[in-house]
Order: sequence, then structure tokens, then C-alpha cells
Amino acid sequence: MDIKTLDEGLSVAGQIRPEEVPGLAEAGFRTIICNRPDGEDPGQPTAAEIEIVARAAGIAFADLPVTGSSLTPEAARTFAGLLDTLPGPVLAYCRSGARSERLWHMATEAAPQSPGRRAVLVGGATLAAVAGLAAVAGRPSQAAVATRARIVIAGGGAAGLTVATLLSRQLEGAAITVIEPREEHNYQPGYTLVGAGVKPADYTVLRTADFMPAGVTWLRETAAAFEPEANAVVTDAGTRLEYDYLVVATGLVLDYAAIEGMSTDLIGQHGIASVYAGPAAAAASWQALSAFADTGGVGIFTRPATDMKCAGAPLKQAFLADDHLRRRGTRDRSEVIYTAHSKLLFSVPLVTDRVEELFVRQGIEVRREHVLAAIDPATRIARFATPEGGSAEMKWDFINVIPPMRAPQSVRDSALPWQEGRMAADGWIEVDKFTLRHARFANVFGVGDICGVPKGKTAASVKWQAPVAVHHIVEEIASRAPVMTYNGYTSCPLITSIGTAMLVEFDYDDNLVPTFPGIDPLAEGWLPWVIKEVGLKAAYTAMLQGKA
Amino acid sequence: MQDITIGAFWAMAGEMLGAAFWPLVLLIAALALLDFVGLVRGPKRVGRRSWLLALGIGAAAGIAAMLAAPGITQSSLAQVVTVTDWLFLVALGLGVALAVGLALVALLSLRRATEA
Repeated sequence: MDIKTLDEGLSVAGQIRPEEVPGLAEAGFRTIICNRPDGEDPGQPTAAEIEIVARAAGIAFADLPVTGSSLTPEAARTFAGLLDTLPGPVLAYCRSGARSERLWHMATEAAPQSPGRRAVLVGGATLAAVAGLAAVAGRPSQAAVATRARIVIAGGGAAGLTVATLLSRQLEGAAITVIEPREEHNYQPGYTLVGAGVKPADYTVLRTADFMPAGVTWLRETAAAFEPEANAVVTDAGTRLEYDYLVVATGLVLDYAAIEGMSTDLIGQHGIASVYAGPAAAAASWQALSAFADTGGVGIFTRPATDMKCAGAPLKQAFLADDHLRRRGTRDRSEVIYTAHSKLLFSVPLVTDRVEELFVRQGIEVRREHVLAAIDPATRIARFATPEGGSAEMKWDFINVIPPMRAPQSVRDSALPWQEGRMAADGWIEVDKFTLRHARFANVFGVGDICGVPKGKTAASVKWQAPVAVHHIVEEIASRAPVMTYNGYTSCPLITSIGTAMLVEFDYDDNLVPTFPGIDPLAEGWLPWVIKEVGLKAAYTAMLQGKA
Repeated sequence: MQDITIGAFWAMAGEMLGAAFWPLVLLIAALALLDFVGLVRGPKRVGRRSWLLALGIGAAAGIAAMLAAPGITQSSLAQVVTVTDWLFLVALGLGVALAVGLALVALLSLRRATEA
């Protein structure tokens, strides 16, 4: 490995290998920056592989991949920000070292940065200097920044509350408003446990007030219209809020009406289950599932064609039903059928393979490319749309209905959604998948289910998205270069029976990114179940309060 | 779930246990103090038989904890299958066994001191 020293704080090199990282630590490097996209060459170590070894060696790591076309002034500013923030000496690398060197030249040749567009919002000096370097690369910790910025957060669910908590800690003097009409806050990851009889309905019920941070204005109304061109949001009560920054955290809506014959009133009757509609629906779903487990029969588990929150839930519910049938001795006279919206059971190939294997083991049938289009509760016949305009009918004794999910109408009616492509149809907002900043309205960010990004519609994703959006807002106000990015982290504790689960965690690139060493993401076990059954709710409420 | 730190674990434990959190912390602290006393004074003040008795009771408590833990989480011992599952369970059992055993040693040593 040839290392070229550019100045006392920065050296560059060609592609490094994981086994070379400990030597770099011994040589005194304290940060590694990767400037090379993964997959440029066969056999190239990924940034994640280097990062794991670097962290183990006590070296901070940041990933800023660039190609010839993305060697932009913005990339150079970000690079400069990393150099300013992360501990030195720094080793930056790409394929040959040339891109890293070019970034350094661009960064050092650039004129001193003019204050950001919203620098005028800084109402005073930063109250304290950057407090120190965070343990996690690219996540500098900071003291509060003084500002008079008006920040509106549309939505007070998991995403909105977490963002509000983090912003209220990191900004001093900002006018932060959360628009949220609901007094009740639901711990939605618990719905599958309620729907399987593992937890009571009230397990998921919390109070919004308990998590609304002090100093934040809570407007108990609904965001009814977004006017990003005018930097304003209008509520259903007619309140018009102008903002300097907007965080869209509305969540999504369940489009039960898109399934002919379906309504939430039917949940718990006619063998119909659907946990997504709320705690009562989850409890009613358990009644339906329990009755089905007593008698056995045909159980159908659907999955919509749209993007959906907690995409592992349909799989979990099929596994849980299978388990209940076995426990009640009715499995041998039952059929458990999973209807997949596509040819795959899950978006991550490795997980798909594993689930296929488990479905075969459990005798769960799969009907691929079947999307629920209509139900007739009286006859218990479900109609599915199949490829090339076809349809198929199936009779059920139990059916788990998961509705299509879309952006709320107010978002769909605005300029915020993607204008074309796969994300446009359902109104997901057009944000950069790494920074969560809106592609056309630079002072708008998205967090949570509403984001039009390839992955990340889980509460665990919010844990990683919220700090990124908040970081970009705070850094812009403080006229600093933001460095944090979201890598698509999504977590799905995939329950395979009552008592076992797989702790599946992955990123945008379908890499499995386990949090806990020793827990194989594709192995069923008791410990992942304990994490889901005992630990996750605590982690969730801690997240809302900015503690975890 | 990424980025789990000791601080995050502490916060999660607080969320999980609610009002019982601080009383439990105090109880564990008291137990730790007793364990410390047991380690420091035990060898001198407590006879070999008492040691064996305390550690035997501790071991029984640890085994009981290992047997009970899966059921408490609505699982079963048959579902403890992976190496990590077993390591976690054994660590739990060892922790309970040591805590209970050493606490008993401490109590016995204090009793001896009182009697003397």
C-alpha cells in the first residue's frame, strides 16, 4: 500500500484491505475516509468491511464515495467538513488515491465558504464549541446552537417526536412546532404481538404528551396542505404556519378502501384479521386467529403491492398462525397460504432465501404475484389480482388483510412527492436517500414512513433517520458542513414462532448489518425473541426521548 | 438497534422497569456490596462448609434462573437453540449464582462477626 502524505493531517492511498487497517492504527491514523463506491471492482472490500475493522482498531470511519461525475464542490465541502470534524491524522482512500487527492485540492482551493442560505437564522454565537468527537464516525456531537429558526414538524408519531426531541436539545431559541392531533401514541411494532395473543391490546398504547419535549409547541391539528413554494403548512383548522425548515413526518395512511369489500369494521369478524388499524384491531385480530386455530382450515396471509411499514409483519403473522395451529393440534387439517405481491418474499435476497427455507419446513404454501383486490365476507371468498390482468379466487377460513399503504392525501396533493418513477404513484416524498433532504425544496426534510427511499419504513429506521435530518438542519443553521448520512438501516425482528425470532437488520445495499456480535441474522433463536418481546418497546420509548 | 451503548442500555432498562427501576438498582447495589463483603471477609470468617453451602444455594438459584428465564419471556427451554442463546442463558445463570452465593457468604460472615 502506497501512502501519499498531502499535509500533516491528511494522507491518501489506493484501495486498502481490512487486514491492513490494524497497521494503519499502529502508524497513528485516527480516521479513515472511504472515497470509493462499493462494487467498482470484483473482490473489492466494501466500505462496511473496512469500517468494521477500523472501529475495532479504534479508528473513526466515514464513507464519502465519489466518482468522476460526483467530484463536485459540494462533495469537496463535505470532505472538508469531515477533515475539520474527525480526528486526525486522516487516511482517505479510493481506487488509486487520485479521487481523494482531488477532493483535498478542491477543498483547499475553494474560497472560504460564504455563510449558508440560512446563516442569518443564527441568532447568536454557537453557545459552545463542538463538544468533542463522537464515537461513531460521521456523527460529531455538538453543543446547542442559538437560533431563531422556525421549524415545523408535520406529524407527531415516532419520527416526529424523535425529531422534536433531538432538535430541542441541539437548538437554543428555535421555535419548534409539532402538528399532531392525536393524544394517543401507539407503539406500532407491538401490534403483531397483540395480534398473536402474546401481549394485551393496551401494551401498545402510550400518550403523546409523555414524549412531547419541553419547549416545543404542540399544535393539536392536522397538516392539511403543504405549500413548500411559500414555506408554509396549513392545518385542517385553518392555521397557517410559516417555516424556515419543515420536517415531514406524517407517516402513511392505510388504504383499506382500495380492497373492494373491505373495511376496518370487519376486523375480527368473518375470520378477518388486520393488526395495522390500531390496538383494538390487533386485539380483534387475535380473537379471529384464536378461533381459526381452534378449528383449522384455510388461512391466507396477504401482502400489498405498495411499499409498506414493517414489511416483515406479513411473514411473522403467517409463522405465528402456523405455530398456534400446531399448539392447538389443528395444523394437520389446515392450509397456511402466503400470497406474495411479487416473485420474492422479502426485499433482501438473503432473507428471502431463508424465509423460503422456513416456509418449506413449516409447510406454508406461497402464491406469488397475488395481490388482494377484493373480499366477500359473506362467502369468505377473496379475489386476487395476478400478472397480466388475471385474477384468482380463494376461499378462506381466516384471512390476514394488509392494506395498501400510501402518503396522506395532503402530501399527495402537494409538490412534495416524487414526480415520476415507482415512488410517485403512492405519493412518497422526494428526499435524498442519504441525507433525507428534499430534492427540490432544500429546507424540507423527511423522516419515517413518508420518505420515498428504497428501505426504512420501520421504527428502528427512525432511530437512524431522525439524527441525520436533525444534523443537517443544525449544521446548516450553524454554517457548518453536514457529514451524517443514513445508510438505509432497517431492522426486522422476524418472529418464526412464539419464543423464537431472527434479528434481521439490513441496509440499502441489502447488506446484513447485525448490531449484536454473535447473533446470526438468519438464525432462529431465543435471544432475538427476548429482544423483540422484552427489549424493543423500551428501546422505542427511549428513542422518543432521545436516550437511545 | 445499531449503536447500542451502555448509556442506551441504561435508558432502556429504565424504560423497561418503570417505577421499579431505582429500587431495583438500589437492591442490586446492596447485593453487590454484600458480595464485596463476602469476597473480602468470607475466606477469613466463614468456614469451608458454610462456603460450600452458600455456593450450593447460589448454584441452585442460578440453575433455577436458567430454567425459568425462557418461560418468563413466553418461550421455552426447547427454543434456546443457538450458541448465543446458550451463552446468554449461562451468563444469566452464572450471574445469579455468584450474586446469591456471595451474598450468602457475606451474610454468614456478618453473622459470625455479630456472634463473636
